Amino acid sequence: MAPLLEIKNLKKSYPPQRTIFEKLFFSVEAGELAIVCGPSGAGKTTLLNLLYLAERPEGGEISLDGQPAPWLKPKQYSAWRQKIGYIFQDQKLFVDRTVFENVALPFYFGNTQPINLREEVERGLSEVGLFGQKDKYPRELSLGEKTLVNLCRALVTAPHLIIADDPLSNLDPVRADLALKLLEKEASSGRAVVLTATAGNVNSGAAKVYFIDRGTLVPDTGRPAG
Amino acid sequence: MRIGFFVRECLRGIKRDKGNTLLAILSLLMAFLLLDLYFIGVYNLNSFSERLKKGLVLQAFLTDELSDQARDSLQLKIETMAGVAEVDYKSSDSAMAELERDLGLSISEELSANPLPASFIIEPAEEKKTPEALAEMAAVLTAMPGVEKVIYPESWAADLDNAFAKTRKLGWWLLAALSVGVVLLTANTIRLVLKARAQTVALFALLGASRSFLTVPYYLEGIFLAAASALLAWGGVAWFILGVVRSTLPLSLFPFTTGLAVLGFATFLGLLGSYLGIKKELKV
Repeated sequence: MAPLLEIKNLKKSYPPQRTIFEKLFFSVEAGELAIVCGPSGAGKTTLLNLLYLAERPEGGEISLDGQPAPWLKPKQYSAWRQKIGYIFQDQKLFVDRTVFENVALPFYFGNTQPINLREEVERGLSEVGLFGQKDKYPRELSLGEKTLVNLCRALVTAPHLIIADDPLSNLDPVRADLALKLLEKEASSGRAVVLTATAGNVNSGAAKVYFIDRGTLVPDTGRPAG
Repeated sequence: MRIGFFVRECLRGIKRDKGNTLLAILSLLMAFLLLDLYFIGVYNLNSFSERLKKGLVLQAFLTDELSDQARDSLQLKIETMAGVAEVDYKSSDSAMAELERDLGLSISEELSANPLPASFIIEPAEEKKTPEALAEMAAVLTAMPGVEKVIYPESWAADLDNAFAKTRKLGWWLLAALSVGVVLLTANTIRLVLKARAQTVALFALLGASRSFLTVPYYLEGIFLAAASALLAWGGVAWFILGVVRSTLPLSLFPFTTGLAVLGFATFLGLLGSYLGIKKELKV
């Protein structure tokens, strides 16, 4: 079976001479939870941004669902991004919208919306324990709560791939456990999940763990990933 | 459901930038006020001209020696001419009576004979009340045996026609200039709005919003600005004409359908302005 996400020979650097990835190979299958670990500045966020077309590589290929990334066709970015749920490290919530409105937004991005949108959003908020906060604005929430809203927004449309940029670092142990369980549940329901973490702060038996090492990804067995 | 969402997004934007919205509406209001005043001018000029045209007739004076039989036959001939709506005979006696009534004097007793000739008063059909058609009809009538002379308000008809041609021309220029003004003002407002909301738009795009999702609320906003201004201008001139001016001047407000047409046109201009503003500012 072809992997849901496949990265081949990816090259990314920041001028003048900082190479992030030289020849990166990585693949994630449907139903897999992959945790990418590495120190600050290793390229974890860059990797997610490349997957999300928020940054452009110098070379290589990324494919999702067998479709190559449309780097040169910005008009197709939205269709690509609608297949991905991105849990941003800095939340990126709309401050002038309520929790409910923030979570419901991705439903309007495509051409079709579910008939029971309200129920879907409220179910998602209940899962992260924020149903009671649905009418609040982000400024009224704690950092941990904002992270959970961000997570809920990424999961609510049931995207094919979920990417999460160090989502657990802003959460207390109880909420971090809840968030990880939700991500594991998404993976077990057939989606692919890639989350980044600073080494040592994620403990999931269901995940494959990779380390970023000098521009390549290596699994915790020490073998090069791919 | 999505349309409802877009309308809410548009209203959210308007609510957030109340000051800019108000400023844009006021600027556009000036343009639509001028346009409405032009339409009121044209409408009243038309009504005035219609009233004048109703009295626009040709008078064919008859030769003295014309027999009653020849006169009847001539009347029949004129009545069957193309473009003639009505023909009335005015005898020399009724011409004298009319003159005396106009002058307020009794002059027939002083005269040995009535010098006023009998005539036909010919009312052309509406479509023939143009300087060219009137001149043509007058030439045909003059050439008829028994007709001595034909008179009609030649220069007046030409002047009226000329005034209308100039008004129409001015109207087209005014319409073109104001339309360009409205489109540019709307485009600029939408550009400023997009500049002010650049972060929000960028975040929407980052989250996967399609281009239509990003642009529709701004199209709606442009339409709202232009239509609201046109509606306010309509209300303003209605109040001015019906409430203030009408008691002193015989002016009327243009018909409801004209108001609706201006509103429709404003909507189109708003849409066009939004398109230009979005095209210029939104690089997503």
